[in-house]
Amino acid sequence: MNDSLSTGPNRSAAPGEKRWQRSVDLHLAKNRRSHRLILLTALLMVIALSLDVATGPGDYPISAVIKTLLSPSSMPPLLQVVVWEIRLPIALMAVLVGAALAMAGAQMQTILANPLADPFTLGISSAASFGAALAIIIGLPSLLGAQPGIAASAFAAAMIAAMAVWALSRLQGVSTQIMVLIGVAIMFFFHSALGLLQFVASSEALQQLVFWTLGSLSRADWSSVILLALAITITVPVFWHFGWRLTALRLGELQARAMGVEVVRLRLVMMICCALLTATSVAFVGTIGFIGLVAPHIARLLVGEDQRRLLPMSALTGAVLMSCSSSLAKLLVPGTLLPIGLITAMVGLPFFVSLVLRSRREL
Amino acid sequence: MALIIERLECTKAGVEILTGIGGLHAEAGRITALLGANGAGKSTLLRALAGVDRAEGKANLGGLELFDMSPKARAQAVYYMPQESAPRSLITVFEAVLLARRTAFDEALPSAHQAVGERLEELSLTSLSERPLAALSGGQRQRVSLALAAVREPRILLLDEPSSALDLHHQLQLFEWLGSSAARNATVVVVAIHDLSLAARYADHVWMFEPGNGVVEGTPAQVLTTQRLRRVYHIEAEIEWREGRPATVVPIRALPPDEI
Repeated sequence: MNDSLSTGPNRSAAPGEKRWQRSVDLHLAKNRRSHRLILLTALLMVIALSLDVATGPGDYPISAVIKTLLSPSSMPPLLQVVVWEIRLPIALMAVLVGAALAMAGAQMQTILANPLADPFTLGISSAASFGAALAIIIGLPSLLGAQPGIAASAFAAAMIAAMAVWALSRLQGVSTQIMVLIGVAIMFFFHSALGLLQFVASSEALQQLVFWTLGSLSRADWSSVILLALAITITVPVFWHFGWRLTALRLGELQARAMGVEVVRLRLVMMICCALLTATSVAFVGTIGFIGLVAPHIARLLVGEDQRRLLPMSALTGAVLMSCSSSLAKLLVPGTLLPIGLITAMVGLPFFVSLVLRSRREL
Repeated sequence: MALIIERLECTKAGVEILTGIGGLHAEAGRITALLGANGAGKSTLLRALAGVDRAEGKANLGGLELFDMSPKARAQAVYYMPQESAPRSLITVFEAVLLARRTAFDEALPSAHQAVGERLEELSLTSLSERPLAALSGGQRQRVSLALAAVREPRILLLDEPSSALDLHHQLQLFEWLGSSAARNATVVVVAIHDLSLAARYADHVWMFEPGNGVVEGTPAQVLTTQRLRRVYHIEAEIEWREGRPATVVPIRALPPDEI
């Protein structure tokens, strides 16, 4: 009978001597398929990025834009400025923010074992926008220089929210569903705190604050692109280092602990990394919802749970989604740049509702 | 060689869950059954030994002091197989078993792949290898859990109700596989189990939680007596030991409160 357990040392003498090879081959084939999908998504990202650079006010022909990218000095100075100082930083920012939020979302879903977790739903984004707004209003920028000052303040507030989520997740009897409700409470708290700031703010500061709440790429410049790239460069090796342990968490906390994973410490390290990614993103582009929720789910459906594939796939999917949203924000109402946060929310909300409905059995 | 527990204490939120446990041993290469009523502390004892739950104590295996080891070394030497892992995870069977291997051994990927492939074939899981865990039945998941345990090649394997979701065929397979695998690799195997007939039949040694007495140990025939089953499980039972036939424990009735 095929279904019987082969014990004893004679098992290799049985007819299909290398029968174990079959499951290995299937596994490797699946890995190759995943790698192809990752490459394909990377290609999509390059296309979306190019499209994003090619579109925008000014109606320059694509060929001129490409020429400016390849040899800037041969083109008129105005086009140089438009492509190199406005469009390219914005397009790169879109890609980086998408990747950062998607990675943060993927890791939060992993460590909190909750499909609805992401920087936005757990209030980390709102906390970061509150921190950034506070820095603008009390004039912190003048002490540290505008961008780093706002980023630092956003990071501090995001850390407080992240640590609150982490501390509450350690309490006994706090289920993953309760976690999301607590996250929503944190989100509303910082939302109303932001409202309070808006109420007392001067009219110039108010203009800036609206920018945080709606989310916009329009203020991206090279220094913010470099700072966010730096935040990603710091966190990705950490994610990679803990890759096996993070995947192990997907087997359930007890199973992970049995495999020697120090779950509490792992959650803490991951929360800090997620707060860093979220805060840096939010500090420069404001609150962008749902990318961190949607992208990891798409990635998971395409390549599965293994971190070595899930992480790059999430980042690339987030980058593609954000880059496409950026183009949409320019094209949807010709002549007007819509806040990108509105676009991602409109795309993401139906997805969020479908996730909630799918998990209703467990609620 | 044997696992010797000199002392084991576990306190959770100020409440003593395990106390006064000591003087237990479990031979390598043999199956030790851990018995006791619901809530007696079987799972806690296994988790405390594995270092999954925080506990204090003194236990050693061939000079290896479990409670002095680093968490990593301890997770390598001792593996606790949880009662029920029900993740809604999209991890495939192969990936899960590979994960169990990678968190225990530093080795080249091809040799890890081979270990995983062999374990899956041995436990007749090859046909399920690319299924996500979420798509498996409870029994299939339990067999996968066993593959996770086996591929880590622990020196001490602690199983928590490994057969609760298995059909009869797979129950017998499991214990026969456990017995031969333990003997082959000189593994200490401790199985927490409710089915007394399975325990009587396959265990070489029994640990039993007895109210007021901590944990008592002995051969199945020494430990499984009608008197003790009355005290431990509050049941009246018939126990039959026959030459050449599997031992059977037949529960007759639950004792009413006034007879306990």
